[in-house]
Amino acid sequence: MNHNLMLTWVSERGNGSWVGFREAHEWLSSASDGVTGSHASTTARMLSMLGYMEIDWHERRWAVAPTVLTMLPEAGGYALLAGCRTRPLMKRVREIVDGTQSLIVEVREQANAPSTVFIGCENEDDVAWLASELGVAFVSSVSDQLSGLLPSLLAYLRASPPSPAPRGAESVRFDAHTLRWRDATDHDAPGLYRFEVYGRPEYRWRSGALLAYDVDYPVGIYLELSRQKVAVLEHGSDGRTGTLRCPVGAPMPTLHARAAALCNGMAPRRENGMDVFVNVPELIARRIASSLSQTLKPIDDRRPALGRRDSQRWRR
Amino acid sequence: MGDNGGHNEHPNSSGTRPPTTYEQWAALIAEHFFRPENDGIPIVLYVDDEIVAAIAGSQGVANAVHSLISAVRSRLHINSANMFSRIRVEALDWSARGKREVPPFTPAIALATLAAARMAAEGEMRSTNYYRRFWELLGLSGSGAPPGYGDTFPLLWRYLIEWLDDVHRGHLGRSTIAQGSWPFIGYSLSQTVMKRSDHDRLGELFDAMDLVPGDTEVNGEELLVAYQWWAPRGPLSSAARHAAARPECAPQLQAILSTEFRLWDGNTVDEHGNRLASVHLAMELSPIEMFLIAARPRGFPATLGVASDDGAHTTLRSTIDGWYDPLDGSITEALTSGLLLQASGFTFRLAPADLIILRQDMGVGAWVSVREVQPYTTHCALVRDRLLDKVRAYLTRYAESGWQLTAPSRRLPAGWTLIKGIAVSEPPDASVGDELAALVPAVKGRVALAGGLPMPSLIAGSHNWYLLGGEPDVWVPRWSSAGPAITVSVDTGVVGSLVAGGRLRLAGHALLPGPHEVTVGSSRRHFLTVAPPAEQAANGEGQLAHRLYRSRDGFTLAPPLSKENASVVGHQVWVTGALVSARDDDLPPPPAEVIRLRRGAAEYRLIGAVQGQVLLPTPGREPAWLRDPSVRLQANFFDAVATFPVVWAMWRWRSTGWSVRLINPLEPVVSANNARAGDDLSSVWSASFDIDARSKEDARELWSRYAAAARRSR
Repeated sequence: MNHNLMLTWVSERGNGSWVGFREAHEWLSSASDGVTGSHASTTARMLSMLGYMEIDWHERRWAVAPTVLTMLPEAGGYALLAGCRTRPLMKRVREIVDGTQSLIVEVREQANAPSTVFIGCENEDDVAWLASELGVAFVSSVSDQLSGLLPSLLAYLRASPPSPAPRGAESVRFDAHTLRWRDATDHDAPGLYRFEVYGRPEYRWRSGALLAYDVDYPVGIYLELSRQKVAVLEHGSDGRTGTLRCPVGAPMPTLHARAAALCNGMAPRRENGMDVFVNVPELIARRIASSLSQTLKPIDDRRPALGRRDSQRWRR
Repeated sequence: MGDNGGHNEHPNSSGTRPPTTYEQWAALIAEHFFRPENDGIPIVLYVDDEIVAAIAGSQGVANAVHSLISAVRSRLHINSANMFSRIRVEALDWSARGKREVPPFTPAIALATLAAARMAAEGEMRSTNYYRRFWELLGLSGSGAPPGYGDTFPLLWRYLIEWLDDVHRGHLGRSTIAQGSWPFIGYSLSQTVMKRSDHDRLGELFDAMDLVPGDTEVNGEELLVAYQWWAPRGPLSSAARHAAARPECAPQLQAILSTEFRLWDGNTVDEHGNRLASVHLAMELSPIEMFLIAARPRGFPATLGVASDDGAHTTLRSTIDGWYDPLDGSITEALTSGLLLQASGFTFRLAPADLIILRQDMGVGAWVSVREVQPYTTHCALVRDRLLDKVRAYLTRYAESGWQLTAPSRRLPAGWTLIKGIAVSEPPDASVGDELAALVPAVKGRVALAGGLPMPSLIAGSHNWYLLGGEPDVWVPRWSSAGPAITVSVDTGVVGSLVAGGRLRLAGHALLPGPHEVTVGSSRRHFLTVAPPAEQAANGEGQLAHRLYRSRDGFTLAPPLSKENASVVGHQVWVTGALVSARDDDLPPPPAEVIRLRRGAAEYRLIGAVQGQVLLPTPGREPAWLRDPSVRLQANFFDAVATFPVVWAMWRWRSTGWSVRLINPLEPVVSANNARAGDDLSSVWSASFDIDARSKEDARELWSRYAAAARRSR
């Protein structure tokens, strides 16, 4: 799918309904451009994670986020252009940067996300000046700032309305140990449930008390992981920075994922069933894990690959 | 209506006596067809037995027809070389007077049309058949053209055309009279392509095309093509079906269809004139539960007593918009034999089918049967077992992966299988039989623009705006062409061709911004492409945000006034994308300042304002992710973070010596306490200002003051 065109449309349209987003996504996915398609919700979460747009799943609306230039931590002197990215804006960025000695634009394509626009600089002031010329916001380090205000799981739960299970909808229950969904015959036991209602799935988390809470998908996942005391987030240091790994089956809530993704501005790599966020300093990783009631595990490099041959090699 | 200007009401029902004379018939026929409310509308002078009776206003069909015949016969010279000479002379006379009055010859025209209608109703369209019926109507024996027919009737029809279109300039209705391929009788045939009852059923065609009343997108040509496909399958008379297949009838059909569509109120009616609505199958999946629901089109009462064809009575009640509540009755029987419910003026129908497509309906809150699959949308299908293999073969070839047969269930009707997760987004590349037609994706029942990247309209009332590069696709319904392929043009250039039931992408054809016209056969569609100008801010940018509040134990999402969150101590913090907006007090403390230093120097120093504030950073190795093949960024700098406010960043190149950069212009602070705090670092701090470092001019004065302070500290 052409994610760049998707982002251009999101940027130039500005806002719209979820149905409209899904239709635009389906149209782009069906294009015979040789790039594999994906689910609209996956793309929306990815665009949101990278700070390009916000989605209100309950109101079923989306809106592009403001354009922001931010320095990346431990990134060799590169800033990131995040948020609204219209074609006129990109043209203006190139015009301004071409007229300076101290800035350079580096665009890196990605398979499952819009290209990342890096701005190479000699110092932060040059990027702040560029932001001022463009009339957009400049933030010293958005990943650090975001990671400092992540709400806890309890805060999410307090904001989730108690809500009974939808009637007549197919349901599955989340298994915190395998991170898979299994058929559910009833919804009375504690756990996280997904209901296939009309238009989109709905999630209910039941802690054991009488009440079930209407939660977002990732919040529900981490509530259940916390209830079952299952740690899934891994971090490994690489000099001054590091790598945060999160299972594909346990995606982080938007703000948490965004704090990790905006450490390098690129979509997480997918390896062995894990989303790999690179260039995440340990401090940021710890803040993310802590707010999700997770204990960071060291990265287990002996993890078997998903492929059968790799798995056998690992056993030997 | 176009053929009689309002045939539901007898124009002669106001108490006047039934017509008996030729003149009376002429006046009533003119009153029936040529009316001011038909201004500009194509009219068809369709005359069959029923319409003759309607014009007469009473006395029954046979008597009315007999009366008309008698009136016409009163003008005939049966044994003359031109038996219509008197009618002809009156017409010439009328013409010579300027054609100002109502044409005097309309009874003769009506009789000629009646003969054509009778022939059309029985099939064989041949001139000999026509003349035979004409002779029969006159009650005379004869064959071939009656004497004088060729001299008279073409003249009468031409006069009528002139009277409508030239003298009255279409104010009483525009002529649809055409000679066609038969020199003499073509005029009559041209007005008999459809019976009155056929007109009534055209709502079903418009409904099948997904038209709505007042739609300006569709034209007569397109309606005709759709009609020609639909007529053999539609609930029409044999006359109308035959006419649909006759090219010479095309102008008349097109005129009728245009008129009827213009007058259409959105309703469909059955053969008895009852308003028609459909009955649908609806289904919940967990657990499987099936029920029947009747649609409630606009204008249908909220409560309606109906009777089924076996005489059972029930009451339909509507508690949600557009639908009546679920019906009682056997699902299996309804699916097998269909269902018919009738009330006074209303009919509800479910047609039996072997393949039923269901789509989620938010209003009903269940999966509801639909005519066909829509691209990009998930459906279920209930398939009768005898069709199952064909459906599976089709889905294997054309559907996206993920569809699956559900396990047999007692909750499903015997002999049927439920398939879930069906999404067919691409049209099939080969023709598909009618039995699988419901699986051919269609966005509308007519040529349609769909997909693309739509933009908000910049002009009120206009629509079909798209982002430049995100132009819509053209979808063509199955009826659009019987031939191999249809050419698709945008503006003046051909952009491709497609088969009926296909799709063509317009994106990628390097269209310029602005309005465009797409031509597919007889259909024309319009759209605009836009490239927003640089100065235009995205509409709605930053409109959505995560709203957080600082609380005693971190940040929370609940609003401060909620009882669940009495611990809130700060104001709202907005997070939208990468931007955080809040009062400084409500934000976490800012991180330590990061100084970015160019790699490759021999040594580095970060110096603070206070003596002893020195950091000697080292670059470390380059972050690995920058060297990743998908990134490949040159790490020219590295981050250094000091625990004090940095005033000077210094680095020494092996070749050129020291350089210095002013970071924060703070004045030096030197005291004995500072010196004692760390002798080594204090020495480095002081010694740093002995260096003749290269710096920018605006930093030199401050550098001099630091050098002086360093000297004083020794």
